[in-house]
Amino acid sequence: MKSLDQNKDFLIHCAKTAGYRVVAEQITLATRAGIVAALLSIDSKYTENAEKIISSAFGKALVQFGVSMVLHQLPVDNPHVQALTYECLVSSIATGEGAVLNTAFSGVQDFVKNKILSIKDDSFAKVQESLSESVEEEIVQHAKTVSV
Amino acid sequence: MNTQRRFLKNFIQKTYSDSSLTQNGFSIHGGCLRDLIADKEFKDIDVFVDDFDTTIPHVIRIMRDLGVTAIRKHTKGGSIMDSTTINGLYQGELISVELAKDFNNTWDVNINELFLTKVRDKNKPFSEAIPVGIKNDFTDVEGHTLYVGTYGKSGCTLENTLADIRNYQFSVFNLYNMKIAARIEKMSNRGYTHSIDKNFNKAVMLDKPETQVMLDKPEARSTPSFLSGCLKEAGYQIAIEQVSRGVQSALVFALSGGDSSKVEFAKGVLESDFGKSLIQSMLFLIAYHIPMENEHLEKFTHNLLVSSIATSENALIDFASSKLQAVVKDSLGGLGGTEKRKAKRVRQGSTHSSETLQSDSEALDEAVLQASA
Repeated sequence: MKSLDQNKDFLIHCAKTAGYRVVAEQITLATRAGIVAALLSIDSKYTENAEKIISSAFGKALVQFGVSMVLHQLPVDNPHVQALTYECLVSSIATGEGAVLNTAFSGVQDFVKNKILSIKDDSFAKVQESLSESVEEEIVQHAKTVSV
Repeated sequence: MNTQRRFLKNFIQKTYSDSSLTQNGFSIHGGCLRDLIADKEFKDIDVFVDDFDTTIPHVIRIMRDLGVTAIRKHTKGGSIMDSTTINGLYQGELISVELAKDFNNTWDVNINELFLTKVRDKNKPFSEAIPVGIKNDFTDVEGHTLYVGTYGKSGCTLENTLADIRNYQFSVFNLYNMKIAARIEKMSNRGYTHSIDKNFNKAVMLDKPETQVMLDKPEARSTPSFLSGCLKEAGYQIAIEQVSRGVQSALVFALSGGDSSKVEFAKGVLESDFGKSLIQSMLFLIAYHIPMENEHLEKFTHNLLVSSIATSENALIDFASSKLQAVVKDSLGGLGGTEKRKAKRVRQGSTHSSETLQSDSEALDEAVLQASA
């Protein structure tokens, strides 16, 4: 069982790391929005594709990587900047790999979803069928008693 | 663990918590402690003392408390001159503790004086003479005396200092030694060299060469270890993202059967970022209470909480700044770029569709002609 101090330290550490992650996310979002706005203002046939790429998860990863590289090259020996650089690079890798995984498994996800839905439909149909049969029997029996 | 090792471990715990011994300059030789930590065999248990008369009765008492019987004392019988050996039987095995007189060859290193030359050359106090990055490393140990015991001709090098500090980790007398050792090692890895100031007989840290200063710049950090750290951390983030998404979609799917407005509301909440954060918090609570000691599980748990906090904070920021975003978007839209592009797209689309229509009607005409023929 962890002590109260340990829990407190753990929470503080988590909050600090989360702070860096939030800053990294917001910087990325702002940079991405800026790039997209800049691309929209350019009147070229290539910008449309570039805009699509930047707006995708891969684009986000690319922007995060770019931000981390810029921060990495800054001639500042500051622990906060270093932590932010680290967080940006980690987020970039995570976003990129996550996007690859999502693309790779989207087929599997659809298959599983459809399978579950078909199972659900089958069971629903069976229940409906058995229900209708039992109702039919009841009606027949009721009719017999009525005729008697 | 053999009997001698077991004895030494108990002996260390007893002696270093005994104030009457620590006050009398009692210190166990770093070598045998090092061997104990490294799980190696050692020959003797060597102890350094300032004064035999004061220390020996206490050592004998502690040995008795530990269950040593048939205690015999031999003066000047050890490998070191002016020493006393105390022999006895511990759990049926012969135990030998050799007490050596301390010839003032122990030396204290004040952490401020590690940078003696630098401070002296620049004629500035420690806090101003040391670079910010290095100073940060030493903030919590600044001003504390680093007590290092060496003996004989082992030399007062930084390597010996580090080894000795590590081996003194049992000592209650040197609470800050481990911290200081970690800092010195860090500096050593950064390329700082060390030397002994003969005037003071103290270890001093020297400036690193210019090339090393260049290497120590942020862009030249150890790239492989930095990248592998990033990759590992990213792995945890991906795992968390996938697990939380899986749970989120499963819950949303489970709720999809219901028709009531409450179910719809719950579904909406779960699908949002706050719902994701909530799920991550729940997963964290579950993972935190798993009674298992595992490094990966701990990191996973830590990352779960971090992700949960970060997700909700990001959602809050997005929510709070949504109006600002709209204003910025509007002002950007007002620049004319978007309209211009939209207009172009519409133009292109209309041209394209008219061309297609024309070609289609021509093909239809041809087909009709062929059919009639």
